[in-house]
Amino acid sequence: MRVRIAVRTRYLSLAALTIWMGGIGCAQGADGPAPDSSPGGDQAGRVTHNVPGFGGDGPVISTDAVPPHVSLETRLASRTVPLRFGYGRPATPPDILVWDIDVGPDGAGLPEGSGTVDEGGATYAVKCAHCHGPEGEGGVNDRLVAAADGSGPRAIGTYWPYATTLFDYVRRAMPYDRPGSLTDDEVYDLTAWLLYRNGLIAEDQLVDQGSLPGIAMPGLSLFVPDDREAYRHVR
Amino acid sequence: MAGADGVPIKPISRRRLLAGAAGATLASLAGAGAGDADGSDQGETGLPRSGADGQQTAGQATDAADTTKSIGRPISELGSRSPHENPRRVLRTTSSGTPHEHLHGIITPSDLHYERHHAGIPNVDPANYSLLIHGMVERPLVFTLDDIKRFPSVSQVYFLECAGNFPTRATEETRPAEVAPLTSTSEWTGVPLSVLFREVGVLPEATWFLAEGQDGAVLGRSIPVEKGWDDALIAYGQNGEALRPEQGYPVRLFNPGWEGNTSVKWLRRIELSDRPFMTREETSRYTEPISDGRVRQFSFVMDARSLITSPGYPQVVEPGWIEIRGIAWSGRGKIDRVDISVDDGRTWAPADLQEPVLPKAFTRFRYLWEWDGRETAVWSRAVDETGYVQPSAQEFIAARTARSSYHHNPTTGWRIRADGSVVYRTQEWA
Repeated sequence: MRVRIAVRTRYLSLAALTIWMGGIGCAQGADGPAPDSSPGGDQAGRVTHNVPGFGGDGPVISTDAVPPHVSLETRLASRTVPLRFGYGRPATPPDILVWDIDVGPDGAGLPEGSGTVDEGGATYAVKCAHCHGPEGEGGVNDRLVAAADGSGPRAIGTYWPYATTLFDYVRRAMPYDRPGSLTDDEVYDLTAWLLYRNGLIAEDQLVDQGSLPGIAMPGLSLFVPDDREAYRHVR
Repeated sequence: MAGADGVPIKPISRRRLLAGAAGATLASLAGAGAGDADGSDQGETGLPRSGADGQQTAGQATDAADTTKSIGRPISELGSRSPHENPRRVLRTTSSGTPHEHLHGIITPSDLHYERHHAGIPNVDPANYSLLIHGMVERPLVFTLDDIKRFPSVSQVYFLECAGNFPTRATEETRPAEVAPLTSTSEWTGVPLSVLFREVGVLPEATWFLAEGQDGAVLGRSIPVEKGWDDALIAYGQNGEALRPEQGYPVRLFNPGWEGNTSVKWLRRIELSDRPFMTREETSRYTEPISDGRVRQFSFVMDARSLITSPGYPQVVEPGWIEIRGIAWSGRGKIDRVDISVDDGRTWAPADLQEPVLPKAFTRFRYLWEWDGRETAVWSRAVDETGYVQPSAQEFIAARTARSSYHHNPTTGWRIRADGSVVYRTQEWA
């Protein structure tokens, strides 16, 4: 109830302001021109006045008829945003299928197909080595294969926490100059070669949607969630 | 003499009227800003002569720089900077940064907003644009750009900062823009993501969402669903116009106060889930070492930071009054205070903060200082409304190790030499 009164008061003062402005440069309305005076009105709560440019028979502003405006911020805070505006169209299964390319750490989203270390090595030499070095040691772009002693820049074998991320990233973004051009089998092949070269799988291991999520990654133990807080000191 | 509107008008000599007409003709021939045709009015002594009617022409400087002797360039459909102003972004290998020392106030001109992309800037046709929201929702929906613009809109001023915003070199010849190039502030307009969350009916079990772009990297980040209910925007406007292509035209996600990479550009898909997706950009990248040898993940918020933009290299200053100027920002809310040291960090005093101080936006600070001409160094240190104090380099390295470049925010300063030259106050690592 209190809210409603506040809103009505706001509209009343708006009406008063309009009347006051209307009083400048034209005949004052019967309701009086003073900015601090309350507007007059009939018993239904309507306020009548003259508006410049509308002659002496101006529009009627009714404080009851004006729906109180509620800001988006207020609606969001009070959960009174319309639940639905009805904009947009339903997404069809093909809409989703064509874009839904992500692969989760549990393997969700991995496609059919498989890859081998041998095939991966052949594809790597043709499509990847010019940026990442013949052995994955790095070139104009990142080192992919960790040094034997684990030193040096972070690489897949020392830093990446999930093997599934390899598939996801190579498929969506590699090769850098032709992103999205690899077949799923090529991506599995490259994933197998990279995991093998980082010492994470045997040379004859087949990589597919069944095996990839289960491959243990040494980097996983490094990761901790953000523990900073609104806090006095750096952390 | 009085004009029709009652304003007195000075008598104008016939010669000056003719000169003005000639100048206008020249200006229209040259396209813009032609020299003053009244140069003939100047005697060989270089001093202005009297007019033929015996009356001196008004505005006696009659050389080409006298803009009062010709008509200026005409109106145009699209404005441009003064030809005398030439701010340029600071180019790095994979990014370009905001030239802070050339800017005033808190709004970064859109064409000087920093940029960082993972596979270049796609050319997205707005007529073919759509945003898919699916996953753990009641109603998976596809929105066109027009659909997105129909929803209730908000406009908010927010900074954006790349997680990796640090000086790449540590020489004295480092400009302010090179200390923190990858941060900028704009007014962003869009629909609150929470409105779209209601439209699709996000299920209660959804805890994360994937935001994915349509660039060549199809860049994806996992975002806690709370950010979408809080203040994330689906933004299509920047500083009063459509987003710049470098900023994700036609639609980007905008996560106020969070590392820039999470505000996915050229946004095409949002998928609600009950776990993070562990994309490359939140595992191999955008994770940082901390002091115990571990690696911090999902460190979204950008901590408070400040930068003195003037004086700075390569300025040369003179003894006397100097207004130290700069910007400060915090991903946790408003800037509460910026402390300035004019004695190389020994003592600190608060600067003036220019109103309005907005949460998660640049705050301009000013500190009027009378320099006595002796060598010193000036520093700034931001404190935000949570009480967080911008750390020194020593404090930062102790917490994060010297290898940490993400979320880099130590205090920085400028050395002012006795000859007035200003150089970057180099520190242990940067």
